[in-house]
Amino acid sequence: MKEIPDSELVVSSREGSQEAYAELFHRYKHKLLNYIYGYVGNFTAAQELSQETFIRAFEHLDELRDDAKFSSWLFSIATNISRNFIAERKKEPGESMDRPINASASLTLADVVPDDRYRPDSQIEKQQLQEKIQRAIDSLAPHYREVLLLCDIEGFSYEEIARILRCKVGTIGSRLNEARKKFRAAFRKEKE
Amino acid sequence: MNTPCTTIQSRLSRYIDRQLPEEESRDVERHLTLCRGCRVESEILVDAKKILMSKERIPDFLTVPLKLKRG
Repeated sequence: MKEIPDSELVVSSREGSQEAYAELFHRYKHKLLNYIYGYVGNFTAAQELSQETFIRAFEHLDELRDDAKFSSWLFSIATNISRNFIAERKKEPGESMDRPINASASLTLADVVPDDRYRPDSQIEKQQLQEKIQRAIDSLAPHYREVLLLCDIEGFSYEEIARILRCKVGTIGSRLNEARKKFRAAFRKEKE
Repeated sequence: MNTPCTTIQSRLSRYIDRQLPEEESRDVERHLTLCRGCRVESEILVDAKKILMSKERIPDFLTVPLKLKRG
């Protein structure tokens, strides 16, 4: 069955269709939660921020200029919300960007997946590797995190990333250069 | 190997992501076969991308607590 384009769902949502709104929500909730979790490194916060993103998007649906660009617009809202969350955390006493957010988070992904006791060693090693990747991401400045998550994890094109981050397409390549180098260095440090 | 290393290195992510025009891409490719320094830089970026791409996605069932609601 042919998928209904986002633009049609946006128009119907604006006209008050609950079904169209539900379809957009189901279409993007997983990708959005995954992005925000990668960004803030705290699963509980990622759920709340995802919820906030959807609420804000649907409250401001009239402000979306190109209905076909709904996903970039949604991720742009998510990026702003996540940036603010990180900035607020930075202001809190005892918090700093040098300290992985996971260290003070109420819940990380490791807390919500099955207990280590029921997993073979290979699974535990895999989990540890995943935690190292997340900690290396957490150690980066927000503008590096977002470009890596959007490109290498969520698979957006350079044009889409430029729209999400509201910058020129030409900026994306150079920012990715820096971000990938910094991530690789942080990841190696985690492995030591 | 006429293009300076700094120019080549500034293009590496776009080269890796196949975002360069064909001619520039061929230029980077040629340069990398001859220049060890730029090749090392390129390998670092490719390695970072590979590690990031191996990051597991949140299992789908964990999106269940997300509720459909308007503000």
